Amino acid sequence: MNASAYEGATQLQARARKVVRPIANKLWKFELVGFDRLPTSGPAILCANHISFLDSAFLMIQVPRNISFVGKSEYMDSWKTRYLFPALGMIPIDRSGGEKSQEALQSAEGVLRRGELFGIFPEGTRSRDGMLYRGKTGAARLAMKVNCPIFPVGITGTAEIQPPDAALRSWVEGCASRLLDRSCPSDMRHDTTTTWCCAR
Amino acid sequence: MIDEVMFEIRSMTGQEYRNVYASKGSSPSPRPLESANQGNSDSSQT
Repeated sequence: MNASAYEGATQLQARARKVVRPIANKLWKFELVGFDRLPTSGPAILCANHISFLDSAFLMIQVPRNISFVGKSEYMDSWKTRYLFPALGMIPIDRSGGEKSQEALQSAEGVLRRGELFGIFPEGTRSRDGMLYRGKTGAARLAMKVNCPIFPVGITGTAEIQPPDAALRSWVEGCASRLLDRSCPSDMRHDTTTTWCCAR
Repeated sequence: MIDEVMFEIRSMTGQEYRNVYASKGSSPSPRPLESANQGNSDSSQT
């Protein structure tokens, strides 16, 4: 697999968003906090917790711009997802790490350099027990390299709709996404003691 | 920086934080780590 061949979200995502968002808003209650802080143009990384398969789908639906996500390369093994997911903005990542995962980050860098949004789950996988795990550093390194902001995103409720490894079971639960002010990696390069720079 | 991101996510979601990497399976990696504020050196991002 050559992940750098994947360019992220296409117009298909924008079209899908127009169709799916109103349907999703009828099916679920979304509480979006802070999404107005997202830049309307230019690159940015959204770092979210990961508690359900729906996290990326719901974020994709609710953000106002195209967003590309990394997704596990196992999705490329199934005919059901092999073509659809990359067309919707998934960049497959080989989670064995090393150079294989670097290919996906190179694709993500291309997404950011085109001035688009990139979403990533720093934990690397869905949390099966609801706890938040240590984040891996790819997003931070990418932000430093491209000099773009990181927006932490807190997602709640999606695990109740679809727990990891379970079928979609509830169509009425609500979920919430909270998006925090951006972190400014460029301002942190020379000040390692100030690890957070927010534009509040 | 990523630790700060995780702590902000924790404050937003109320999730309990575990200072270990998540595993792909059902149980977390037993690999203990030092302070979350220390620098990360892992090269993989999944």
